[in-house]
Amino acid sequence: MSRLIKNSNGLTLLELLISIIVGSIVITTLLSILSLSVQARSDLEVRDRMKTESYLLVEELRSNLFNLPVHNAEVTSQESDPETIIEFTREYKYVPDGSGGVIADYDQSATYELVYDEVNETITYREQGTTGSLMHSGNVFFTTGTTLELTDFEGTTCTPTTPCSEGVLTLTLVITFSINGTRVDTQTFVTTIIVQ
Amino acid sequence: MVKNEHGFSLVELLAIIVITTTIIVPLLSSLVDNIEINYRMHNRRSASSVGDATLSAMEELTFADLETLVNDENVASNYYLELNGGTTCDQLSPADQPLCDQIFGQVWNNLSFDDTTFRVFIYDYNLPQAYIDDLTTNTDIPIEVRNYMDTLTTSSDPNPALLRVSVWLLYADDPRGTVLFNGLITDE
Repeated sequence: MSRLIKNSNGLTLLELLISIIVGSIVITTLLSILSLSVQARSDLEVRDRMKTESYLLVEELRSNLFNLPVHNAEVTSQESDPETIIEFTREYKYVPDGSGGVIADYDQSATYELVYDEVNETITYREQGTTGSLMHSGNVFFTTGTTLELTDFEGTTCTPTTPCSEGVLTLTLVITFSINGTRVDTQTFVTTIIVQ
Repeated sequence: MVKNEHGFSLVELLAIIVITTTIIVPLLSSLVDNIEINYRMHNRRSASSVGDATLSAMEELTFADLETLVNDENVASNYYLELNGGTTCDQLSPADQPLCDQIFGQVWNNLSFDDTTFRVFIYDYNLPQAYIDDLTTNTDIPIEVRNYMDTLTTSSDPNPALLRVSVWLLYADDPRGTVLFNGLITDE
């Protein structure tokens, strides 16, 4: 025989209200923590994406320059130009040898250009005379503050009058990209590449 | 109506706190771990690029100068030449010093190094057992470099026109946060 006293009256309004308030406080706290976590993760993904874009760009550029190899490098654009153009020239060009292979033809040189277009906020690497291709995804932009500098090891800028056979390419990349048409906050990455 | 006027007991309160903490702590620690792992991964990748670029750039230094400096270190029973930026580049010929400074001044995706986190060790291609014994017990050399040296086959043969180079980078304040690149410098 059960000796338990049963409360068959249910909860009072006050008890219900208190339990709703306590429950709300707990749920709100948990949700705000969840929301913060989601926001932090989202920020992390954005920063990660920018870092990756910067890394891929400079790594591809370094690989291209390593494979050239560069015999002559110079900044051919003026400061007032809407484009910054850096030219890298190899003293020979690879041409078909007629039997399926390629040979170095020293009668021709190969010139490649690294171009930062301030208007379209893009960076392109191309063989001179061609349109080339973007070095980054289409929704990535390099905004104001982005610079490409080429100096010799002493710090003097390489120009058409004082070209360099080796030097340091300093890339200051101010990156942003758009998500659903809205641009995220920019991040700046500095990288130096030894050109030789 | 039977009224319970005691409210929550201490045990119930503690149980709620423990349960809530059990839910929140793993969530937050997972987030913090993700951030840390991500940061390290990027730094490791950048450090690898710096190490790779350094091996290529080392080829541009004057071989005869490096060979002479390594021989001087052998005579002094050190058996290795260390370059780590700063004044160590002053040992090189004036023509090579600007490149040396640029090598150690490299920045990759905002990651840069100082003379304690970016060190280059240059030593003979053929190392007699006595040299390897001395090098592998020298605590001035990072353990990762010593472990690599320990794997080298000993040889007392005359050295060809080759030098060994080990590029060591510390990208995180943790013994595991290092990258090591080993290569050769040739007399071209």
